[in-house]
Amino acid sequence: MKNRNQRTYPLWMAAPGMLIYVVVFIIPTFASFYFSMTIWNLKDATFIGLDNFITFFTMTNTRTALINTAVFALVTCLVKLVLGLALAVYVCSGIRSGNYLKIVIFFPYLLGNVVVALAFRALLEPAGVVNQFLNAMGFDAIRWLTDKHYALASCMIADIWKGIGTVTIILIAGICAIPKSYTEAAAIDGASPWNIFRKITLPLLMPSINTVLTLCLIGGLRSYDLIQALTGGGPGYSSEVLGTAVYKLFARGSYGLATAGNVILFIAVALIVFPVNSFIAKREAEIS
Amino acid sequence: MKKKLALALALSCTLGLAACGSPGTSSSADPGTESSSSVSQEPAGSLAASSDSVQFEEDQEWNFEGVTLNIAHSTTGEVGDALQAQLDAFSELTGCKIKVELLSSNSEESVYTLEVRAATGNLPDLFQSSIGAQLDKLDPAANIYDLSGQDWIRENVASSYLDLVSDADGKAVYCIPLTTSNVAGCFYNRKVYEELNLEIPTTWEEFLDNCETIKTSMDKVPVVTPYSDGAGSQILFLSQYYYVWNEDPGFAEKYTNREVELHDSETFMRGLRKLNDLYTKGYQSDDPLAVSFEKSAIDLANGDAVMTFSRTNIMSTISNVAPDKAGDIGFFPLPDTSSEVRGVATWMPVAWCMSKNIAPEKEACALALMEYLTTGEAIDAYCQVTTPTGAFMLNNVTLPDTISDAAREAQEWVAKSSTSVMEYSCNIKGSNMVTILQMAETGEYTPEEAIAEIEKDNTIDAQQKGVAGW
Repeated sequence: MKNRNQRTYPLWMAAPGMLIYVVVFIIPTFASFYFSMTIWNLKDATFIGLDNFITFFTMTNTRTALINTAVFALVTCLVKLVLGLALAVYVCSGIRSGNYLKIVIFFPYLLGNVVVALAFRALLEPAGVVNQFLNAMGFDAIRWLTDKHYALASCMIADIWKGIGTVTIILIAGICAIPKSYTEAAAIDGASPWNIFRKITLPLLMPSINTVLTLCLIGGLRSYDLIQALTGGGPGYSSEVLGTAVYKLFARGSYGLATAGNVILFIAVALIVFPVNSFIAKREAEIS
Repeated sequence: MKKKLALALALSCTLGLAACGSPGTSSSADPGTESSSSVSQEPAGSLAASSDSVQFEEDQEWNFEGVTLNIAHSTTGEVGDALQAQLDAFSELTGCKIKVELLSSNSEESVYTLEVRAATGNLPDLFQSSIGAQLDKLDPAANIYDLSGQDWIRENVASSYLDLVSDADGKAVYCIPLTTSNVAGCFYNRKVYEELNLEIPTTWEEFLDNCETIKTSMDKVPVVTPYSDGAGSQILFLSQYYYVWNEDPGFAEKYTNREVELHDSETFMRGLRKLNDLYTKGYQSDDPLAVSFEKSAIDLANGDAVMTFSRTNIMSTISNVAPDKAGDIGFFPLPDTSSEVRGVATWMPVAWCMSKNIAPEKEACALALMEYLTTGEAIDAYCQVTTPTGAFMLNNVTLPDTISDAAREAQEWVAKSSTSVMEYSCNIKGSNMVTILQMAETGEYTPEEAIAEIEKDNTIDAQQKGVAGW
């Protein structure tokens, strides 16, 4: 720990940034805790204690929304990680088209969620390309977006397609940071590629994987725009997530209840992400 | 520690972000939200009106060079172009500049946007608003310019419309109509009806018989059901309100005061039963949740489908996608139990409002524009771009001869027997209405289950609105 006087910059230089952060994030966060316990029409707020939370949990779609949110976050997160890792290792394996592939893989990230959703709607519609392909292969067409068994999966596929670029880029950066001498030394000692991956690449990649998992989980839990534009939470409540449920309440003017939904989302994110994060951090410490 | 702090910061962002969204993609305004506060029965005023159109008073010195008006509306398509033509014409006439901001075409979203702006004092100079209960959300007394002092308002705007946009004691007037009224009912393809020698059904039984005939004798969809569209999935259900109102004109008020429950009214329940009939008997589209409003219009016009429950604005879409087929389309009201009792439910035009906090130097210009929009000149500009599909709710303005037969038939029913839909007189509507109806329409819910869900959803909404007695 450096002596106070030896700091390169004095602490108060952080003040403007902190001020903006407090005004824009901290105050609204705590204000939302208050408004979640009120009936609020943007002008007047009547305090009603925890009634909004009770109401929220008695709503028909809440249970489905909670389960769907968890499933969506976990599945997209894991699939993105596994596929992203495979892609990252492949791209970093010294193939000639590596740089080109990096751009191609990252490209979907540049598109907005709504753009991706509209593109997937066109692909997955009853007479869309995907169903035409299925028909040509001799399968029946699938109602991707209007069958309750497929709607959430369709949203996940779109989300994975869009999100895999970021994951891959983070992991590529992680792999590139591993000194070549380690893998070369292991190869000379006769280690198989699988062993090199398992014993050298993977452990040294843990910090990147940690980042990816945390980002993907948070992103998955608060996913909203892609699902809203793709299925609107339907058919029925089959692809409803907390984000779409909360949105419907905001749109209808139930601001207090909607804010309560957001607070629940906040708590859910905290409850899931903190333990995951500390677990991975511990593993990371053990490995290194 | 740093990592934990960073994580905490990231987490706190999710609260804000979770609520941010993209505009929806609904193709037509949600029918449930163009609400108003009182029941009206004669929105056909302008059809029968005399032909002396009120001209904008050109002898007045309207010169607004250098003034820029900020206008926000959420009307797109041909009608949006028609509005733009009106604004351009005014701009040319007076030299003022007009900046248009397009709000979300999802009416709930645009109301939400305006509500937030009203609460923070940032309303545009002129803006589109739903009327009635949705207007109340904007706190008109504090935010909207009172037009009652203008000498042209009562002269130009139909009194039945003014009733819906005035405050409780009828003194202040806040809006002028922006588009035309909308009438809900069944639109059918006349050619197919002639081909099969079908009569226009006067009861729901006869309607189902017609569907059966169509289904068994040809490869066409009897009723095309655009349930992917929020509006399309509610039209039949909401227009059943004519019969509820006809049976008990005080139903909406009683429901607001919680003196009746929805499931107690068999007439109200029939709305859901009709939806259920279409599903169980297989008279609707195969994959109704994938059918868009545009597709229903195209299929109806081409004769791939024979009937659809819609509003007269479908005629504007048909004249756009299949202009030569508009004459093949006819209209009849949603049938019910008796051939003696038939009628239609209507939606009033959405409105133009003017901000109360408008800058003084813009006030005269904005008022001149409001006046202009109620004159025959503005209506001419409108009709040059699109054929109206309903009444303008303006005095002394005639509809052009080019109006489609279906729209004309609908207007005749409006004059004969009609009421505004329930939400003009009762603002209670849960956030999941569309979803619940879609589930009833695809067999997920029986009518009884659906009504239980609707009542539960409405209760939450009423509590959140602080309606007394809930």
